Amino acid sequence: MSYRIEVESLAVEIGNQAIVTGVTFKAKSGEVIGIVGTSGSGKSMTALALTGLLPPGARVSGHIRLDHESVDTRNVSSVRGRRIGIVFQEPATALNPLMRIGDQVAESIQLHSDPSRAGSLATARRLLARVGLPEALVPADRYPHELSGGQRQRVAIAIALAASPRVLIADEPTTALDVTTQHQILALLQEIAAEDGLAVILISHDLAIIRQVSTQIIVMSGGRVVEQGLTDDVLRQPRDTVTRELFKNHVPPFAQASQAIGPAVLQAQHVGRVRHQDRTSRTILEDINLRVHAGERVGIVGESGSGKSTLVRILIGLEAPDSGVVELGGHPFDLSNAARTRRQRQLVQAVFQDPVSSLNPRHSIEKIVGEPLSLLAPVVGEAERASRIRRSLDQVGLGMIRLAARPHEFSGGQRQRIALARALVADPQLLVLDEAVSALDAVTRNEILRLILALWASRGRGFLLVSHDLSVIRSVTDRICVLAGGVIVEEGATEAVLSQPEHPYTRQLVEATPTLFPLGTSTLRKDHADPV
Amino acid sequence: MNTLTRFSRGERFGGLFLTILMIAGIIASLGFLDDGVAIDISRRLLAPSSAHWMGTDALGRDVLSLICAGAASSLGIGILAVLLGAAVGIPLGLVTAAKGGLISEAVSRGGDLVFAFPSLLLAVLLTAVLGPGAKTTILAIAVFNVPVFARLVRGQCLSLMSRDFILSARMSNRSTAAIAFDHLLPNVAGLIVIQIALQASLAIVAESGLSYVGLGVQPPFASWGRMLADAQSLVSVAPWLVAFPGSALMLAVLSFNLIADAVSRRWSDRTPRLDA
Repeated sequence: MSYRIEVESLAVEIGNQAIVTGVTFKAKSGEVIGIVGTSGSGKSMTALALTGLLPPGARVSGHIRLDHESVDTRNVSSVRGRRIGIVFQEPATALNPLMRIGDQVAESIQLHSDPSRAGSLATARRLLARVGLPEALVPADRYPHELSGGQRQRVAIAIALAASPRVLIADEPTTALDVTTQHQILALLQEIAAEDGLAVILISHDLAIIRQVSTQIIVMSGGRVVEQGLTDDVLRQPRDTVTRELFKNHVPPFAQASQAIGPAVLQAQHVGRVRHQDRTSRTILEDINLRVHAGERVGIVGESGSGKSTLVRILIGLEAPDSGVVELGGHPFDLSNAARTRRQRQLVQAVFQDPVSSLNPRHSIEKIVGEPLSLLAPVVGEAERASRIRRSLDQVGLGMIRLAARPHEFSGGQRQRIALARALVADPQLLVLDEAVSALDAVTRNEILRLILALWASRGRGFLLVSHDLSVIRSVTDRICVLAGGVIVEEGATEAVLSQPEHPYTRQLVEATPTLFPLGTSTLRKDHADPV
Repeated sequence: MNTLTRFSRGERFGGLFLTILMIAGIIASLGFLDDGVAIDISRRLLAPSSAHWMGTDALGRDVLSLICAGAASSLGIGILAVLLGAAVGIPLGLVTAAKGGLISEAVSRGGDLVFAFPSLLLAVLLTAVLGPGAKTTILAIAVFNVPVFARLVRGQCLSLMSRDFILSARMSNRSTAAIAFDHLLPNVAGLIVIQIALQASLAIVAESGLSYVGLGVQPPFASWGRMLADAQSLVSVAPWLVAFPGSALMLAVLSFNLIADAVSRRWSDRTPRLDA
């Protein structure tokens, strides 16, 4: 049997500390191998070792053979680009913003095979068409900023393919992309593997993505391979606890439908927003009508560019809409009425996506968590303030931390807990979760979701969850609004909308969402989730 | 001792040299060197010797004593002018970044206007209006430091304003001033310290330049710039009159830069990356 790549007991050491040990696998042409693990499992280090991109001081041992030809593990970089192509997570930073896309692909061709400019440009055009960017649709003289995220990732793939490599390594290639775009990029990778006879090594934290495209799976944890085999076999009967943990946490915790739903807390009527730029105006939001009742859990799903970030800012009263009204606590938001705005601010708090950006790096945890307490009237005293901060941190499971600590001392999951503690400290009525769990790995995501459900929803409080992740919205919300192009295209009870989507966009979204189980069989899904 | 060893040789030199200059300046301004600074024609243009380590000038003044006295005006004026400029420029930068809108634009365009204006011309103008002297020099240098700090702070803060912790602060109904001083300022404090050290080195050069053309500190107060101007026609006869004040100026500038380097290195080591 002819193998494109054979890796035998690959190991990485940094300063005498083993970072990765005993990675062994073989891939035939046309085969996709998936490496899965949580952050810190060693999967990205493995990718870097295979491409010779490890930080200085790292030592690689083991054997790598490409097309049965041995490669010096200490000098893998000599075959990088030429025989091993790489695609990274962030297409925005992988491309040179000042260079036309055709030239970027051509540069790679000139470097490896065809030094002539005209010849390499012609090949570049062909490659761009190959990855789904035909000249008629996306001319090669475009700059990266004129392209969407998915198109940029296609350019990155074209660059990786420029030297006709035998192996393509894709490290979280779709993590920064929308669900529907992710679906297309994964299909492209699979197609390239099959048609061009490459072996593709796909690295991801998402079990469902791996299941969707790979024939073999390698599960890593703590720098070791804990389980390995044919994808279907491993996923049908996961043996190792790590695999089972990943498998179990793939599905977000399931919440029962909210019971007592009270009067509307937040209400948006005919909200519209137009952006004026360079004498043209673009509609960002159009005629949005939305209502969140006390105790109700509402989800807004939308991809990048759907206007959901703008909508969130308008709903929480940080921006005024161009038309329409937002009512919070029974009164319209009016930023010129300072006294009322202050009272309204106390009703709603938010948790944002990126816990690095949402906590001021120069402030102590005490100061961060205590900030919303200034909203309370009458003003709370020092003792009351301290006890409220403690209680709030206790609730999110961080009762033991030093109050003087700074955010950088904590992990991503802990930081998101701190952000949650801040949102809860002033006792709001409505919580807005703006992609609050999207940046977390599945295990951490589920911890945070369980926490929110236990602390919040179980006490009859409602939230508004904004996300691009259908699986999260599906398991924790009662009602869903699908936002596309600034318009709510579909709205209704979550399960009803997602099991029988009426709008073509919703249908597309549901179909593109990777899953470990066939969609529509929600009973299976719920078997694996622990009800709260 | 432990804290000292953490600094590199260059950084230790910078700190040491500036400390010596400051002590010398204080000693001079307390009147301890009045004998040396006094005019005494009988000892004019003496070469460096054990009696006069750096020699004497055309009026018989001791060059070492003059350099010490000059340190008081150079460092004093330079640092005061920069601090004054920073005191106006930093709040301006913070508030315009936090507030945004037309006023913010207008203020930063105003800064551009100052940048576009030749600095020497403004100094001449100020001197014509206010008369020459230390106060005018401080004011002239400070005016040019205002937009430097305003622009630096505004630029950094504009990128901070897009962070989610600002949204959180606004949800807690914090005022623009609270966001500017409580949220933005601590995140740019290190940069400001570095910029102050760099601007101070430029300011002492500016002070010497103004004194050199006669717009700065007036006699009988000593100034390195004036010493250099006086020495101009005597370079071939008494080269020490140029060498010593020139070296003092150069080393002071170097010291400020070394200190700015040290602060910036330590700052970037300690700071969690903002763009992570």
